[in-house]
Amino acid sequence: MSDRRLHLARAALQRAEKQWKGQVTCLPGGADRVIRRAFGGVDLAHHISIGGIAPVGLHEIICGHDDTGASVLAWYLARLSNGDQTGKSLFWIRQRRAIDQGGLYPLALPATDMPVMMVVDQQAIALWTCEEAAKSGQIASIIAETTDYDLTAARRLQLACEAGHTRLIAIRHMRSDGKTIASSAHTRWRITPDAPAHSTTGNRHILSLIGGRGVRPGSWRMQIDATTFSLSVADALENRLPPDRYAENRG
Amino acid sequence: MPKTGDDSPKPEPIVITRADHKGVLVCGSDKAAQSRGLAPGMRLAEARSIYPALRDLPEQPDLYERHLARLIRAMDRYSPWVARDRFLQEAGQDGPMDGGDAGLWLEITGGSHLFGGESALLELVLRDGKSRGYACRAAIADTAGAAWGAARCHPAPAEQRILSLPRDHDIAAGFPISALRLPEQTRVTLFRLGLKHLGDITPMPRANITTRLGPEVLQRLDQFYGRLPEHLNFNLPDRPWLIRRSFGEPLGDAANLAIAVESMITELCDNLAQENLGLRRIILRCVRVDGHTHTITLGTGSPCQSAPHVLRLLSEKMPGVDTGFGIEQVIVYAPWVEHVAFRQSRLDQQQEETTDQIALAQLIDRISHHLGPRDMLFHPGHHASHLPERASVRQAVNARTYPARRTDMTLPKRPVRLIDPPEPAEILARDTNGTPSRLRWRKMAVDIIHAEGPERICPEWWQCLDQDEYALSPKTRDYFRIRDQAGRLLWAFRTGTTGQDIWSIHGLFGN
Repeated sequence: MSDRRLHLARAALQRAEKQWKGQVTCLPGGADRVIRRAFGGVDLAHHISIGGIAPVGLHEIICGHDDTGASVLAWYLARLSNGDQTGKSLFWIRQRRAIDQGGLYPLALPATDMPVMMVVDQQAIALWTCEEAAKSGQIASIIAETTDYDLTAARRLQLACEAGHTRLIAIRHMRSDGKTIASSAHTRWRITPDAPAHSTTGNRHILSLIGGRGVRPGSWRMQIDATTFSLSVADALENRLPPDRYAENRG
Repeated sequence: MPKTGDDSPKPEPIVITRADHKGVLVCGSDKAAQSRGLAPGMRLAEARSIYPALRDLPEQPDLYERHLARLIRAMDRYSPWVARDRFLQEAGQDGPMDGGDAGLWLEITGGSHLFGGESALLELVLRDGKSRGYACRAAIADTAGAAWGAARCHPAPAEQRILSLPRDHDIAAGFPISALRLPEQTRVTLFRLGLKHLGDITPMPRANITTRLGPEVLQRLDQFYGRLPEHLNFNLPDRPWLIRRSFGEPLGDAANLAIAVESMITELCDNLAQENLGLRRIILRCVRVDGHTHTITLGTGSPCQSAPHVLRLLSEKMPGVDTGFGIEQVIVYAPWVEHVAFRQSRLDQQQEETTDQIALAQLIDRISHHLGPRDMLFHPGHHASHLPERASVRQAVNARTYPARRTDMTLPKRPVRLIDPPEPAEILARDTNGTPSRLRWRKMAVDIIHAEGPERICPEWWQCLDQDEYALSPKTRDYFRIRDQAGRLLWAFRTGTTGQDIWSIHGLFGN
């Protein structure tokens, strides 16, 4: 390898390292506040470049019209922490007809942790409220169900979250062509019910990390606890397989 | 001043009752009840043992207070200084207790000549009270204590009860001891000692009275004769939280108007902060030179003293103000103010949390002012209903959560998403035993792989009391949790009888 190519490779590596460090340092509290383990002990460091789920910022869940596990996943991600409870409340913003799953039923949520809920008609109001609440710093986490928004809106939400140290979980509808619009979200998730042929009890879901910044996609088979609204790995042994082998095993 | 009853020859006794932790207490009675020995303070059971057919009405403190406030406003035409007497003061704190024996004091010093003299004033007050439906008695005296006693014990006709001391000393000496507003126990003691009238106590040595009966007797006696002052709590009208500013040169520029509004809001908030009050509603009125008025009304979710917050809320509506040829007057009015509680309510609560609560309330205010007509911002609460769609209610975000709104029972497993109203599902195929095996919902075929249930939910029985309680209502729902071929868990219910059953999808479970 010539010196010039070696020099270019070193420069590229240096830029990548800077970018890598930059992502961590932009978080309040630095890398220590990153949530490294979730979903019952899954080590996310192998999949997310900053070492885990960012405690603040935008995270997205892409769902179909009948993926109700998305609501549980959103609640779980919104409540996920490193053990430092802030005591701040949770905000659930729902735009009517954004997701064709009916409305969130509050009595199904854990009774001790009722969120402030908002139901709006227009996407503009939903996004403005998200931004205002995120910037205020008075809300621990926001869950927003809204129709598709563009990269500019996603970037504004991301900046608002970083300004107010707020976590925003956006539930977005999957487009009919299966593609997703570009976004500045830290992570993008998808959860779908597993077919009954692959599960005996029925409580099986496929959780996929499908994208984000510095993310290596992954997939896990999960089960949901409806009482605590938590997700955990259904079969630890199976989930140790790499994603490609796991997909092969599932057939 | 009790309200006069109807004109029936023998009115049935009526008592007002209040429920407390020991049972039901009689807290008011009419004349018919009093004539049968029913007095406030006794238990309702005790009163019923005296008169079984007794009619009782629950106490309505709000109604009582409203009538009293109306009466005080009416008496304001005779004197601006109107005070409630001791019974009404206590009634204001702990509900009306024997309010019929209470009264109002009017300070008419230097004002009676406006009504043609004291006698004419007395007659006018009595006629006014009667026209409002109250049976009243009134008297004029030099001191509040003497007026209280004269109104109840003066032997003269109702319109001539004027007691002027020391001219009417002999009349006052004939007043019974009850004219001194003494406690029941002291009155009984005096009665046993043979001291039945004021004239019996007045010549006695003062030291002996204090030693044997305590200081209260002499205090009341001195207040009666004007030797000791008596402090009355006069009813003062609420101070209007209003700032009006007129401009010699009309404000034609929106920027100038904004500066004027800012200074007025700041002044109003400073005034409120001095009284530890916060505004809940504010009205801004801009009067143009052509007489047109533009009004902006704002509300806050919690008492607010922060001028920047109010100005921020106003700034979103100020562009709608058309200055036209100029605004000559700006009025800022706070019709609804409340006390601000900045106290530390819990030992483990830090001051930062209170600050956070204020900031959260301000955030909620900002969001509330952006809501559209169908938009909602709420705290979910629980309503005591079997029907899933009625079991969840909306509560104001800043309001306190009442215990009745908390879920106090363990509900069966409920879906995370509720489809309201339920969507119909068509039966495509049935099993040999008649249960559906395939449904069509949202134009999609749903194969029922597994079903759990039923959980029977009946309509609210208190809504259909006319029906036979053992009959199965057609609105009774049998809920099933259905797993379909895609792994989804649906919440479906069946109404109607077997063979004519109607199926609907009401929700989707997360697992």
